[in-house]
Parts: sequence; structure tokens; C-alpha cells
Amino acid sequence: MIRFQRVGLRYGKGAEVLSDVSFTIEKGSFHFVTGPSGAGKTSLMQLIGLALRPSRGSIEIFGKDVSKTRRSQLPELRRRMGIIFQDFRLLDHLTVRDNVALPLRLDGRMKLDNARQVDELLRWVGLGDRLGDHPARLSGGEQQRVAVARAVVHRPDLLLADEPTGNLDDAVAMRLFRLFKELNRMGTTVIVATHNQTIIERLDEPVVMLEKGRVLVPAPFEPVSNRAAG
Amino acid sequence: MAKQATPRVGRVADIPLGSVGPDRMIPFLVAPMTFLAVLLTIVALETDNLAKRWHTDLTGRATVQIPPQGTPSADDQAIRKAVALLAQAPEIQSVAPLSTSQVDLLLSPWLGSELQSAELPVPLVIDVQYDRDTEPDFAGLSARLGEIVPGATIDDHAGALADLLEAADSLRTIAIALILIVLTTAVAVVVAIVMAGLVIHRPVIELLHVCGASDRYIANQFGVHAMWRAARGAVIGAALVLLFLPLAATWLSGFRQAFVPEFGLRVDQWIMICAVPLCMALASGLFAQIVARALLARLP
Repeated sequence: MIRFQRVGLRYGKGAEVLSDVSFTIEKGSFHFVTGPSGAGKTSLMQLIGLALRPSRGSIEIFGKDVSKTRRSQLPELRRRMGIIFQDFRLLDHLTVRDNVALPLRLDGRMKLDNARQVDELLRWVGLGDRLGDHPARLSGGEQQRVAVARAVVHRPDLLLADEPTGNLDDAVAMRLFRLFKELNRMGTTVIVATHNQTIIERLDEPVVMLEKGRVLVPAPFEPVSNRAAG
Repeated sequence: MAKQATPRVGRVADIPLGSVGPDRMIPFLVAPMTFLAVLLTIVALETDNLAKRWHTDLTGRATVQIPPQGTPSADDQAIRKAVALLAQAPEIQSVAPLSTSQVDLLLSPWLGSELQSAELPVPLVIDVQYDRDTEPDFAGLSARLGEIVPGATIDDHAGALADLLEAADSLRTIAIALILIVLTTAVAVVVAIVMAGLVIHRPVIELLHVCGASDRYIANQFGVHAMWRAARGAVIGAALVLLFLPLAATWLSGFRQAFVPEFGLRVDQWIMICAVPLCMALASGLFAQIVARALLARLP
């Protein structure tokens, strides 16, 4: 489903931040992307999220070589994804409800049934009483739940989360990952970039390890527990 | 809780246009531009009407001028000879010598009402009307007239009419050129403001892109917003013209009637005037959208 082949990425004329990155992530799988700060996790996630184009190599997502796909075709592919940003990136001028409904609006699916679905999802993440509030009035944890709801409301084929537990304590983080696991169980491919080794150990899922812009452990990967046992 | 009961499915402005940025200035910039454009349109249309009126008034008419003969009886004799000659031409429908009071009235815009033409060597005037479709041989008539009444001339107004129509045409062309300049400037200002908006709202635009918004979706929000802002300014500008017109009419009424043409526009011309603010708003929205889309295409 996601195939990187000798992908390189550089910003402008600078040095490559990702070099010869090759791996495959199967449809419906759950992967972590990890590595020390500056390893290139966020750049890799931006490539998968089609926010950036590779400087070289090829990237195949949803069966299409996105390095060659026309720019006008990218929105359609992006709408099949849900992205949770480290800094949430909520739209402050919109209410919680309108923030979460954004992917449905972009997809032209903002009908009354889907609007009710937004409200139900927000109730499910514990924000049923904050539908009309603006993000600035929410706590960090609440904002994150809005960001998560926005990423999953349209039932994406691929969920990307960049350091989603950055500001959360372990208990809240684990609850968030249980949600990710549930979505994964329903068929969504989940890729989480994190340096939280505790979470990675606990969830026991395959890991793409990056260091200095290169993949140290190529996918497909064995669960951490198997590697530990081996 | 009441406001949360029904989910919203209508239009939502994903980009906070209008909350920050220079686009708040759009109505204030478009209003004076529309004021000028509408005023110039009225000038252009009125000039067109005036030219048509001149053409109607002066075509089919000629004026015979006879130098004063020295005595009233000599004047009468000269007029009788001229009238007799003119009446022989089959194309001429009527020949009417102007009385002294009629000549005084004609000259009053230039000489004032107190001065009598009898005190001045004012020529004797005969008004001639002829069939518009079959113009008389004025050159031949003028030659014969000169033989029987020395110094008499016939003016068919063709030269004066041509000059007036050319002047009207020039004025109308200048007005149209100015309208285009004003409209282009207004649209350019709106487009420049939209370009600034694209920079200001770059983070939101990037988020929308990543979430799957097409350039068209984003550009449409800029276009629609610019159109409504410009429409607000255009309505204000057009309303100011409506307020200005009675003031201008009051001011012009102080001039002598001969110099100020009668103001009167047809229904179709009022529709054209109403189209100016509409064009201003639509062009602003359209070009804002085109420019936004072109600039968005440069993003990754």
C-alpha cells in the first residue's frame, strides 16, 4: 500500500534530510516511525501525507506513484488520509464542530447525516458539551481530542499521527493509542511517528527506525517482543 | 446547548478572511472607484444622448443670414427676395424669417436679455426646414441668393454638426477609457489585497491542502469573499452617486439653460449604469479567484 524506493529528500539546495529510504507498509497494518530528534521522522510523515514531494526515488501510495502524480490529483489522495499533527493545527476561528467537519466539507459530504456523525464522534471523545466552543477555550488535551476526531471523522484509509502523545501523560496517551488500534482493527492503516519508547514497547507493533535520514530497520518488521525474544 | 442542537451543514468559511488582514479595506477602496465609474458612465451616456439630440435638431434645418440693409424697409425687401427664392426649391418644406424678438432670444445667452439686437448690426435670420432625405443644392442656392441679396449666406449646419459630433465622440471615448482605467485599478487593488491575504493565511491554506482541499476550493473562498466585499463597496459608491446627482443638478441649474443639456436617461441606460457596480463586484471576485488559483498552484 505504501512503498518507498530509494527516496531522497532535500530542502532547497541543502543536504538530504532523507537518503535512500526504502520500505513497504502493507494495507491495514500498524507501524511506528521512530528515531532521535532530527532523524527525519516529520519529513518522512510529510512525504507520506503528500505535503512534500521527494527529491528522488519513488513513493507509491494507494497504488499510485505519487512522485509522478499530477498536482491536481493529490487532493483526492489526501482526502483518503487523516492526519494528526503534533501541534494539532486546529482552525481557531471555527467551532469544535466545524473543525471536526472539515474533512467532510472538503469531500463534499457535509450532509445532515454526516453532521450528526460529527456530533456523535465528538460526544464519543468526551467533547459533546463543547461542540460550539472555539479551540482557544479548550485545554491541550481537549484540543488534541478535536484533532483526533478531525483526523478520523471521514474514516480514512490511512491515519498518520506525528508525535501525538507529545503533551500527554501516559494514561491519556494509552487511551489515544487504544483508539488508533480500534481504527486499525476496522481496516485503517495507521502510521505513528513517535520517540516515546514506552508506547512502542507496550503496543508491540512494527517499527521503522530512522537515524540521520536513513532507515536502520527496513520494513516489514517483526514486533518488538519477537525481536526481544530473538 | 440550544445552539448545538442542530448540526450546521451550510457554507463555512474555512479561511478566516475578513477577521484579519487588509481585505477589510476592500469596500473603502472600491466605493470611491465605483463612484467615479458610475459618474463617468452617466457622462458617457449623456454625451451620447446629447450628440443624438444635436443630430436630430440640426439635420433638416438651415439658416440664411442676410447682412443688415440699413433701413427697415430695405431689410423687409431683402427678406422677401430671399424667401421667394428659397420657396422655389422643391426640397424645402418651410421658410420662416425670425422676428427681432426671436433673434434677441437666440442671442440672450451670449449678450444678455437687456441688450436689444436693434442696437447692434445683427444679421437678419431666416429659418429653413427641408426634407432630411432629399437635401437641397445649398451651393447653387447660396450662389443665386448672393446674386439677388448681396452678402446673404446659407448655413446648413453640416460643419458645426460635424464638429459637435466629433467633440461628443471624443468626450465619450475619454469617458469610456477612464471607466476602464477606474475598473481596472479597482480590480487590481482587490487582487493585490487577495495576494496579501494568501500570504497572511498561508498556515491555514497549507492545512487545508494537507487535508485534501483543492486549489479551486481555496481560491473559491478568496473569490467569493472578495466579491462580497467589493459588492459592499460598489453599492456604497453607487448610492453616493444617487446622492450626488441632485446636488449636481442644483449646482448646474445656476447656469444658463443654453449651456447645460437637459438631463434624461432611458431605462436601458439606467440598466447599464446599474451594471457598473455589478461588474465591479463580479470582476473583483473573478480576478481574485484567478490570481489566487495561480498563486496556489505554486505551492507544493
